Amino acid sequence: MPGHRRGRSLSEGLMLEESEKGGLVVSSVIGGSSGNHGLKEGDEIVGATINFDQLSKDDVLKILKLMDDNGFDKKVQVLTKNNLSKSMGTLDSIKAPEEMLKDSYNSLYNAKINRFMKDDSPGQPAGAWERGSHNGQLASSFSGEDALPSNLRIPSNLVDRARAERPPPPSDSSLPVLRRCDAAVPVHLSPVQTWVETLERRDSKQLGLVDLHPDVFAVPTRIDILHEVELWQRNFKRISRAHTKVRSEVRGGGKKPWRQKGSGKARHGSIRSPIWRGGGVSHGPRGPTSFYYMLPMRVRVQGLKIALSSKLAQDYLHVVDTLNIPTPDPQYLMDLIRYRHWGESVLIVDVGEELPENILQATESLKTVNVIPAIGLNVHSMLKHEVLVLTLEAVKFLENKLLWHDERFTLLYPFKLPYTDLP
Amino acid sequence: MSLSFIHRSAMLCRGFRASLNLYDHTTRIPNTTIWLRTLCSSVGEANTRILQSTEEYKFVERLIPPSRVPIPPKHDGPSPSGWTPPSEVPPALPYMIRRSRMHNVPVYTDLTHGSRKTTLVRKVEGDIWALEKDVKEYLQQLTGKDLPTQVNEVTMTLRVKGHFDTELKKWLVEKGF
Repeated sequence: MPGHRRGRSLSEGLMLEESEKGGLVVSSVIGGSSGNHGLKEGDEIVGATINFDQLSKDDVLKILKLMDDNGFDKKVQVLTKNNLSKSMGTLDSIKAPEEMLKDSYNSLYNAKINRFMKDDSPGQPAGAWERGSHNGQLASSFSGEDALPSNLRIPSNLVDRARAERPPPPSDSSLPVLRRCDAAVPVHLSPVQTWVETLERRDSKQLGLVDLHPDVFAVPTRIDILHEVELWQRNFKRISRAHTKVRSEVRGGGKKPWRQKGSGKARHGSIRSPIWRGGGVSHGPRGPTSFYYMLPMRVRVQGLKIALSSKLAQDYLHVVDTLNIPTPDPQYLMDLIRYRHWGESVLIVDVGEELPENILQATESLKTVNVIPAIGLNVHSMLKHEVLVLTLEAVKFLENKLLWHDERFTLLYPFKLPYTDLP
Repeated sequence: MSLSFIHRSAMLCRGFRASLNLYDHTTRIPNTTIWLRTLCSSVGEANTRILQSTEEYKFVERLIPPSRVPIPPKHDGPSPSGWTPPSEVPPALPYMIRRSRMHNVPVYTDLTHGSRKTTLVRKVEGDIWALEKDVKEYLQQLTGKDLPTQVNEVTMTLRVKGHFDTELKKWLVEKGF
């Protein structure tokens, strides 16, 4: 190329030259292939990206001084470390907007969320969520309408793998069915099945299967009924004993404090009127107030059925043959629960006047594991505890009692008086 | 003298007894009955003892009502009153309508605001929208009008404008529900 040579070199293998218009042109390429960046003879160099990571502080200062002499603003863009991570990297890698969004989402996810994942699987947010039917976690906001909205998306690694590894019993399981439904199951429905376990050994396998009546354990979930029943349980026992004195009840204040006219003061009839300091409260709480009300019996029964069904559907229901445990040690129970990945809090239900001594002693000191008789089962306790454990007798008792309400006459006289066939 | 003395003492005794009678009727037992009782105690004890027998309790038991609705006896087809049992095999439709606890078809009429007539179909299970479509078609054939319906997916009920309970009951029974 014409023009005088100025031997300023960029790297080992390039000779540069100033062309007529003032740009910098590669005059020749010397040496190996590594330092070239794909430059050929005759290429005009328009700009360069210099990474200051490898350079020493003095070199950086020299370069910046050079830049400063020639004018900083338009030609040079200073990038800090923050910018670099958010920016697009190099100018070469301009992609489609969806890809860029995905990349930035992935990088953010890996940096912020993946580090706290429990599992060892690679931190990609891809992959199906095993329990649920929706597969929309990977999608960015540009993908189609199948994706879940962003506030409902959960990375699949958050699901507890150990719990998810216990699927419901398959129809062709080899284990024996230990209990069939006593009451008649409707023709168009079939019983739900669950495993039966023991509490004898910490790591014992399942003993068998149990049939559960669909009208108790597979009822369509009505959250509004659950809410109603829970509120009722909280409020029907409430007696608010807040009480304030009215102006007539406050001590004193019968006499007119001063004469009506002529004293120069405001007119008053008593020193205990509500506008006076120390006077009575005009519209305060009055006496013990009761918030008692009763929901219809069938609504309360339906609430119990819905609670049981939702526990079973969410895999938080376990059926156990008996409550006999080998030691009265609370640590044994906690180990068992941890090992089997049941959950944080456990409610154990049994029938009968006398429960086994060991389990009573074990749960006495534990706050999150509680034993109740089957007549004490209620929606609030079921919602408060994460896991529900029933014995086979408790299942029979509950089915008997709860199914009776579906086929009973309306109340003729209170059920405390004799009928021929009460459950 | 002795006679009068005896008489006086008898009088006194009678007076004493009378006065006692005046004040204390409850515990005072006349002497004559004591004698009678001591006579009878050895003979008639069976008459005064309380007998317990559980054989007559069946008369009480048969008065106590049952608490469960009985299962109706087997009928082939409609019974003399017009009641039809549900079919043995549930119909092969995407929805199912259960019977009420008195074994009737759960279709009810409602009258609100004095003149607003609606028909309510309760106890639906399965695909309620398919039922709504079928009901609309059937009522279109019946009346020629496109009636407004309301589907409540939470309570699984279907409301139709107008009183069609007899027609809908017959239709559902024909289907086999």
